[in-house]
Amino acid sequence: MDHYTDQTGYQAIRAQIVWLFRAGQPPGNHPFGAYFTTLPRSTPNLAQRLRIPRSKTQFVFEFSDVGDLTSLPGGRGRYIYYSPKDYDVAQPRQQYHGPT
Amino acid sequence: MSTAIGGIDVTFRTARAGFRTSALLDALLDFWPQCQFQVADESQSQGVVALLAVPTELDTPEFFVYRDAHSVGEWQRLGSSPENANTMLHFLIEDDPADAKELQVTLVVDDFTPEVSAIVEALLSALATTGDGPPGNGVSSRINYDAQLRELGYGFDRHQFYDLLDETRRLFYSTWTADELACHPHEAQLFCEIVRKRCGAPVPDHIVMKGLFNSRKRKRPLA
Repeated sequence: MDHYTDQTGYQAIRAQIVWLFRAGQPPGNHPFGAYFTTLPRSTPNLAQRLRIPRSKTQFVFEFSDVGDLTSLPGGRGRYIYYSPKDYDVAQPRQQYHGPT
Repeated sequence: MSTAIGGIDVTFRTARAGFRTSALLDALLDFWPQCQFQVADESQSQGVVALLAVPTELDTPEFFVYRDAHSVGEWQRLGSSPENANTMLHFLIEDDPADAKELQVTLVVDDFTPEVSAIVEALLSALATTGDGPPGNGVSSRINYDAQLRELGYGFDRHQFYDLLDETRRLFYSTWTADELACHPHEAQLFCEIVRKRCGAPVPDHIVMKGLFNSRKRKRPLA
């Protein structure tokens, strides 16, 4: 499971031993939450698929999925998941963080 | 908070039998005559006009349609941005988990501008989607509600108007209740605009929203 972000977001999240992904209200008609995706770094047209600025795909946090996230309703639920509240990822689950 | 998702997802179902991606693309040409088609996993795009000239059926579960070649470049360079908003439509097509005879089509847009709303209407017509669920019985309503709809030029009764409201909410705001929609003024405004376009009458916002709340009070017959 991945979370993409820009440099500012990257610096903020990596500063803590336990990664904390804060929930918020995304644009559009989506639930309040912290959002993640199973799309890997090598995915073609990643920004288009997530519909975010390309700058927000410059950095990534990768962690193991434990099945506690909810898939987005609709077709993009194949690869977009969310937590309705702030989401912690402790060190044993952390796999990679850095530039994409 | 990092924004890890954007766009508005509109999901609707259509019969698997007879479904053609080319019908969607053909409908889009009326709005974007120079639009470009791109398979989601590929880097290259091609003009829809040229694509449809080749008599082979498209069978891709995820693709983008850009307004024109310039938009392709801008999305590749910037991703989503205010400058290129509403110049790309994202389609995902998959089996409907509830019905093997139907497909689930998801369309992702940026905003419901008048053009995008018209495009969505055209796509729905192209697919000839059907709504789900039986019509409601309706409950007693103030007599002047029907009269108001008639005065506005709406050609059907309040029950059919309520059905339209229900369907519109399910299509465009499927994860939101009527209460949640009412608590988001911007989205409620967009919802009202979509309803006006769909019903072809200048129904004021307050009648749309009252109708939405009235419609949920209706008792439905047991299946």
